[in-house]
Amino acid sequence: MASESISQLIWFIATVLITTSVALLFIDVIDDYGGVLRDRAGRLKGEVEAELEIINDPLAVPYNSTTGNLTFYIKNTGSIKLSVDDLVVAANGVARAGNQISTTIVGGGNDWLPGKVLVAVFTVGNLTSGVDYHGWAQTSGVTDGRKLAGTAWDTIDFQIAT
Amino acid sequence: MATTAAWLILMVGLITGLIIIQHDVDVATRDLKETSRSLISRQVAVKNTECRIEKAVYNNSSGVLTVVLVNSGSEVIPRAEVTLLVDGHLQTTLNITGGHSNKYIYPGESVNITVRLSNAPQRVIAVVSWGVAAMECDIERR
Repeated sequence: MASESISQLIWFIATVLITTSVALLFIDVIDDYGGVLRDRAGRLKGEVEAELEIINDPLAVPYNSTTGNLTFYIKNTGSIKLSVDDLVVAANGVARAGNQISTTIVGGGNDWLPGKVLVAVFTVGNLTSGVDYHGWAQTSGVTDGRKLAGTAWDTIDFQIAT
Repeated sequence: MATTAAWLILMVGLITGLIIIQHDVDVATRDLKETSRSLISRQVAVKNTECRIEKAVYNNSSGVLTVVLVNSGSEVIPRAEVTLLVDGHLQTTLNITGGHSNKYIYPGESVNITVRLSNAPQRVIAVVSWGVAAMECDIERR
């Protein structure tokens, strides 16, 4: 009789331990799923809100043939701030990033806010007038909490100014 | 007894998980709603934003280029977003006059944009909100 009770107690404790582990696993999996759902929605929001446009005159992109400096005018056409530090620009297959790009925000300030134009000057050698080139610019959106959100990019087919 | 306890624990686990996920689902739903609203409003704004250069006149003696820009769309254009490119070069010191507001260009209104140049221009592009642009190659000289 006593041994049967002990056996039942052991069976009960084992059942409780196993189901508690399963229940904790449930909670963990559901919590992870919730986090992923929230992150993906946040990322999608960033993708929609972060936009940029290269607004150069495609037939006359400023180029200094002595220094090889090419100038892109890039407008923040989205609804969130864009990261200047993460900007990558490219022309004729040459990509530049970080301190390889000289940047100025038209109208002053350090933040590349919606509606603001950024002047990006970077070096690309041996561009010739009358020849068609392809260029692009890409950066990340920045949320109010200074977190990166979404990618903004644009391309341009252009010729250099004579 | 053990079976009942097991079911109870599993149910508590499931309900706790659902309570925890509720906040994340709320945040995700709010973000998706905002995204959808912002996307629609942006598409409408881009579709309704239009501008055209009615006239561009370069004064040879003063070196001043005057561009008459018309808001030909149905959206308000913030003056701060007006950018002028002359022969591919961005003009940073624009003087915008005319219109009813010193902040916006209302639909149907035209404004005069003046800029001092060192050479007679060939091409002028005005860029406004959302990157919407208007171009003029036929520049009058006086």
